[in-house]
Amino acid sequence: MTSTAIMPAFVPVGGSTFGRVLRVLRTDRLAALGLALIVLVVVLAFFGPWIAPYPEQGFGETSVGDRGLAPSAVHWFGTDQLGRDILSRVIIGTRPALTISLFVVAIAALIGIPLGAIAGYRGGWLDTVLMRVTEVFQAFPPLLLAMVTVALLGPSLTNAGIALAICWWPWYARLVRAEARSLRDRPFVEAARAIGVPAWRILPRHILRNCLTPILVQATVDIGAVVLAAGSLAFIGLGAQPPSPDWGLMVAEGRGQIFTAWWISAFPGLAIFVTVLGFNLLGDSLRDFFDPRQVKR
Amino acid sequence: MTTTELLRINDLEVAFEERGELTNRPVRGITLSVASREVVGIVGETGCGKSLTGLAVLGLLPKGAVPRGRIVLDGVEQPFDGRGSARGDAISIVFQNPGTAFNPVFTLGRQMRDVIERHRRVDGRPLRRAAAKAHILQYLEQVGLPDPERMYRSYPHELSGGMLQRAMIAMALVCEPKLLILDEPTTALDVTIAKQILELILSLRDRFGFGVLLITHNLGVVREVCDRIAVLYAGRVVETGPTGAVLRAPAHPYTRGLLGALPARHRPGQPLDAIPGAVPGNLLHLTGCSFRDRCPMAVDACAEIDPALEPVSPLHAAACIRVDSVEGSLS
Amino acid sequence: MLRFLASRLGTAVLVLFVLTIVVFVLARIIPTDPAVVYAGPKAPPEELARIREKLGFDQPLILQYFQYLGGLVTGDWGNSLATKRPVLDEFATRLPATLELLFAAMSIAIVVGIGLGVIAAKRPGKTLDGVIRFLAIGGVSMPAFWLGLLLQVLFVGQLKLLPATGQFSNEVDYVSPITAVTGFPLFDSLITGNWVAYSDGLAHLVLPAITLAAYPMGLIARMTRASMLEVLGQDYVFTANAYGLRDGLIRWKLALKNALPPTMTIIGLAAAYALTGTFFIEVVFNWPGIGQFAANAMIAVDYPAIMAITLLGAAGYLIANFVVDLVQARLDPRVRLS
Repeated sequence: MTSTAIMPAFVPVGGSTFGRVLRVLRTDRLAALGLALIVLVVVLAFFGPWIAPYPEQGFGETSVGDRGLAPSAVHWFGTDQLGRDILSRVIIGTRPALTISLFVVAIAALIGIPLGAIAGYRGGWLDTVLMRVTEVFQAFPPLLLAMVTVALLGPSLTNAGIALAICWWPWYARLVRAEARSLRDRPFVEAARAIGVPAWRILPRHILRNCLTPILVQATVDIGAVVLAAGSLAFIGLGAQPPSPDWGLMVAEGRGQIFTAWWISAFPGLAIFVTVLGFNLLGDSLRDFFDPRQVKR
Repeated sequence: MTTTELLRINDLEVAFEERGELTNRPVRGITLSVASREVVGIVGETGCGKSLTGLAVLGLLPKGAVPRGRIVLDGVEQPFDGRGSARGDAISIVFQNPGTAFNPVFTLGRQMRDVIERHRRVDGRPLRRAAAKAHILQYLEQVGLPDPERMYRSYPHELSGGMLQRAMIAMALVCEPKLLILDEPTTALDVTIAKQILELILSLRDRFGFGVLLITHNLGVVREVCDRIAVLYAGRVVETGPTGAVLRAPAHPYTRGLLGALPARHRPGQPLDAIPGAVPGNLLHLTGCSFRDRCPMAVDACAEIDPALEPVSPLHAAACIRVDSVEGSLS
Repeated sequence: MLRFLASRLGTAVLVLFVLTIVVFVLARIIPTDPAVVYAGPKAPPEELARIREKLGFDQPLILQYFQYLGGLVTGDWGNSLATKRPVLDEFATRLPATLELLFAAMSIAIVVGIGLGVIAAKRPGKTLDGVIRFLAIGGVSMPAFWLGLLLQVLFVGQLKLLPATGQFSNEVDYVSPITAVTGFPLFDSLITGNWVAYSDGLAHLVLPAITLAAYPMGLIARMTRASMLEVLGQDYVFTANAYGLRDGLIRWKLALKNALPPTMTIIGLAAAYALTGTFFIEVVFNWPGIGQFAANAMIAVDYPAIMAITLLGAAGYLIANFVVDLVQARLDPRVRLS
């Protein structure tokens, strides 16, 4: 006899998808917060140059006379050791942060998903090879491989992006491969095969469509994760280089004055935190939303 | 030998509410009693409220349940919210699926010891581990398990369904309850094992003298084991009486329909007499007799009157306004 | 079970082997000249040529690879191009500090993470649950280096409670030096009763350990909560409740033991994150461990060091996963049979 306990459900069942989404946002405060943060970040990414009070300083122009000013009405986040307004730099830095992150996730997905789908569906040696290859990639503690790659390629934002994409594709490949393998033997796929639908049609139409939600959840969380990773790489010097308004770089630049001018490091770091938080909150709620088992929450 | 009334359920109602509004009322007024040494069966289809009744006695109603009525065990009123409830102690329950009722990562002995330690019974003194183990081994033997020592050390996944059900019964008896509730105890077992389990229950009842509340949808089980039965439909008791009397001469059209649908009663080649229609889904706003839409004997009055249990003979009652017109017995 | 572990070991060795090839190839086909790294950017070309010959960089790639492999097996992992000392020596000297930090951080992360997860699962959807979820997701979203810096500002700069950097104060060496017993300084100071050094070490350990623990704690708390919720819906939990067992016993023993296996897997992953996390934490707190060495090696493109770090990092990860598998088998009797 299974428990008949009725537990509070953040996952509403019944009603249109849009209606359910709205209901989740109303009840799950964390999901709403996540969405709000993401919207904020996206807006800043798009309209940064128009919102920032000192946009030219965001792009690198210095103002040595205003060195190291504490936060004030004129400079909400203070200025750094070159006199640049930190608020502006943080805002301007939003676009590159988000862009690189989207690119990395997109490339990782574009590489990983087809590979995983084909390997999982076909099986055989293709599958074995893919599994071994991803195992090698995943034998590394996260980020270590990226660090080594950037170290060997030379530090720059682009190289960091390449390195991160290399680190991330195995996850998508394995995710899709697992789904493809389990779906391959399902009756509706067998039926399609039986009536002669070619593989290149089965894959997108039947297999991939069913993987869509886990991929979506993973991608959402990954966008945040890549922002964090890129920032971390930049912090130790393996990512964007000065005078780029990269958040991780800015934290590193402020480290020397951490006790006298804490704001130089604090606010860019806060930007990373807030961005990643937004994507993680939303991703978490998405995961619960799509997972049919978790009506009990 | 005199038997005392052990359990009395009075006018039990269980409704469910969501966000302040009532959504359903699966139990609409059940009154029944169990005496010590008596096996009382609650029979009905899925959704008739029988499981909820069992849960109510234990004080384990799910969230959102709104209970009403009184449940008294051995003179002590049982709370609906479970606080201070006698469950595990004076009342034990055996569930339908023994395979999932045990914790997979602990040995059977360990799990049964937890129960003993919790209730610290046996002559009113707390038990030490060795004494608890001896006590448990005794019961494992009583339920007919071979090699109780090995059972004590075993994990659930190492045993078959039948053995697990016996172990479950042992666990239920380990604190020497006054009332044993059995919720579909044989549904998950195959027929031969089921028969053994039922016989075991009867012999244990004889030996230890507890009362049994047996919840099932299976009339065969009821016939084997129960002294009295209560037939539930749509959250109400529609017929109650000694098992033999009810099964031989059912007084309520529903009971009659149930028995008439049994394949054993038909000659090969004849169509089965299933009861047409289905149990009403939402019981909140029922008026009149809940069975009238499916009843072959319904009349206009059935829509107005909600029948109460009327005695058909000294111990046998049924809730139907046309009780006198139901044919005497089934051939 | 033994066969299971042996096959895992075999796969691990194979993976490591492939790794050596991969890293070796990567290191050799990229633009930076190892000789330049060794001698510095201002060295004249003749010097560079001499170094190349001395260190064998001018030989065919395959030959270099087998020389390297041979060296690996015999214990010669090359010398750090930056410090000129054998790479393994550097590791040996620095390993205890990093391990002590990791141990402290993971202990905090596991205890706090599991505790929070179980508590959050008590009343899902209510306020406390929301707070804990926020803390957990916050921990996972926070840049470790940023958190470290903030803690430094607060506890060192403002409150002046704790020291900023290093593993021990310099004075300890003079005033109350630690007798080396196991090689782990903090532990040694504890078992030799050297309270001056021990309290000093603890004070230095607090901030880095908390900072390092944030991410793993978040992962563990989330997983524990999800796992507990699933377990709490199981029949056997309902049965335990039906038998009147106390809530505390059900949650913290009966349910938790079932909820731990998936959490264990996460603990392995969390340990891996912590491993790379030490790179950043040790930089921020100037902790004399492998992470600091590794971060410097990356920037300086110190090949032998980088290759050693890669191999040891992967090996460490494998060991962590191995340990996790062992614990899982211990927890769940059903796994032992498969």
